[in-house]
This record gives sequence, structure tokens and C-alpha cells, in this order.
Amino acid sequence: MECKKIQQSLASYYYRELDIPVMSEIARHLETCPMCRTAYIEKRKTLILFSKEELEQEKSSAFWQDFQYQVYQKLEAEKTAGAWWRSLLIPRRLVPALAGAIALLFIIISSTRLGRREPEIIPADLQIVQELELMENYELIQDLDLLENFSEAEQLKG
Amino acid sequence: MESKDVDLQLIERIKNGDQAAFGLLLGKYQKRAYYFCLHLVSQPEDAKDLAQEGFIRVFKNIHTFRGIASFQTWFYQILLNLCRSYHRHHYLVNRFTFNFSQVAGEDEDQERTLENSIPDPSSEGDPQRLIDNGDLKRLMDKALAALPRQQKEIFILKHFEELKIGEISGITGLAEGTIKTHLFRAVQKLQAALKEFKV
Repeated sequence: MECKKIQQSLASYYYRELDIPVMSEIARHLETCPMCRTAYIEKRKTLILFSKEELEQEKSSAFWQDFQYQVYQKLEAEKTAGAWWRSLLIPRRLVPALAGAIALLFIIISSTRLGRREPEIIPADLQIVQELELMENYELIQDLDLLENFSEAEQLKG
Repeated sequence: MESKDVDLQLIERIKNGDQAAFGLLLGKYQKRAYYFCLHLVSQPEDAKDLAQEGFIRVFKNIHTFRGIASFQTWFYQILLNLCRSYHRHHYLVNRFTFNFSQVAGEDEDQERTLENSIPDPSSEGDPQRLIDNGDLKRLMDKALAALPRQQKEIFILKHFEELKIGEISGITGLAEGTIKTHLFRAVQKLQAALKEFKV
């Protein structure tokens, strides 16, 4: 194995995370290659420096008791709080909640089509609508400048 | 009896409503949970909250634990997700919060870079003195905090939690080769950061 590859595997070698044959090969290489040996020693020093003891300052037993107590407290708080809608099922809140829901439903229905009445159709309006159909005739619109008055339109319609 | 078997027994008891079993599980994993979160988020109070939230999630979702992976793997996954959410939240808060220090002309990003966090050994004096007065610990914390997210997660799981690469793969969902590469890069960066201050 070449030096570059060895040096890339040194962290895994330190943690004993390589297959046994690879571990043996690296160990043999480190015995004979001063450059890789120095690299490994340096790496090992760094990793030893990052020790648990250095970075994980031991907490007092009171800290851990408090930790556990807080977990139980938080669990209890979650249990009593539950889902927001469950609080509405409490009898004294049930009536106002239902009344509120009905009022909300009424507002929604009255503001949508469900609550609207259909408009009445007046016969005179219906006639105007029929006359307007004339305007949809493309040819008539093209020749619109020839029309002197509405009677001509009446004739065309006939 | 193996630790895994003990965990499975405790979980079965918790599923059957045994509160004392939850207490035992809590006692067994609380230190690991707290220090794992502390390495990832660096703030003791937040680490405590996150670790406690991890236990609450375990309790609430214990019925979903099937025992295919070990409890440890499942628990670390929960904690890792909580810490990632914490970082996402803080990233968004910092991004969209008006930054007074920038208005005042301070370059916060520059201050945060690893290079600037390392004191110059020639100006700071004897490295041994640094170690004695706790500067080295602060430097190590900063070096760790400056690692990219995945490298940091993997280094912590490997180095502090002493998990096998296979277990880390189960927790992070990454291939073992990828984990080894991240580990190699993390160690390289930490080594570079502490180069001048080795004992």
C-alpha cells in the first residue's frame, strides 16, 4: 500500500475500524516508513487530546437528579396539556364551544352560494338577452357601419 | 446479559406501562444523551433541553420501536434529528434577525472562522500555559464547532460515543466508506487546528 493511501486510513486505523489484514499491513508499513509513522503519531496525539475527560466535565449527582426530575415534569405537562381540542370537551367549555362552532358554520353558509337565493327572471330582461344574441353574429358586426338604425337590424333578424 | 438485551427488556416493560423501567433507561442513557447534544450544540442549557426532549420522544413513541435496530441506534437517531432541527431553527433565526453587530462594523463571520479562533502561539506564550488555564479546551471546542455538520456528527459519534462505523451508518444512513472519508477529513481539520498546541 502506498503512503498516501496509508495516511488516508490512519484515522480508521487508530479506531481499529479496518479489516485485520489491512490493519496488519498498515502496522508493518508504520514500522518501516518514518514519514507515515510521524503522521500517525501526530494524529494519535490530536485524538488523545480530544479526550472525553477534557471536554466532558463531570456533573454532580444533583445535576442528574434534576435532569430526571425535569424529564418527568415535562412528560406530565404534556400529558395534562394533551391535544388543544381536548380542552374543549370539558363540560363547562363544551356549550360555548358548540355555540361558537354553530355561529361559525352559519357565517360560512350565509357567505357562500348555499345561503344565496337565485335571482328572479323578469320577462323584459329575457327579451333584451335575446336581442343581444344578434350582436354575437360576426357578419352583422362586420357590416355594422352600414346600419343606419335599429330597424335595419330588425330586418336582418327577420 | 448484554446491554442490548437489557435495553430490550426495559423497553418491553415500558410498553407494558412500567414507569420504573423508563427511569432505569433514563438513568442509563442520560449522560450519553446530554454530552452528545452538548458536543453538537455547544450550549449547556440547550443541550439539556434537547436531551430531555429526546427522552420524552422515546417515551411517547416507544410503541413504534420494533427492535430491528438497537435501542441505542434509535435513540441516537432521535437525538441527531433534534440537534439538526435546533441548528436549522437557529440558522433561520440568525439569518432573518437584524444584526446590530454588522451595522456597527463588526465582521461576525470573520470572528467565527477557525483560523481566527486559534491564538498565535508566539504571542500567547508557552503552550503548556494555554493548556493549564483552559484556553486549549476552548480552542478544542471551537475547532470542533468549526467542523462541517456531517464531519462533526460523525466525529462525535465515533470519538466520544465510541460507536462502530456500522452503527454510525445505521444512525446517519450514510455508507461506511463515506463515514470513513468524513472521519478522515474531520481528524485532519482538528489536527491542523491544534497543530501548534500539542502536548
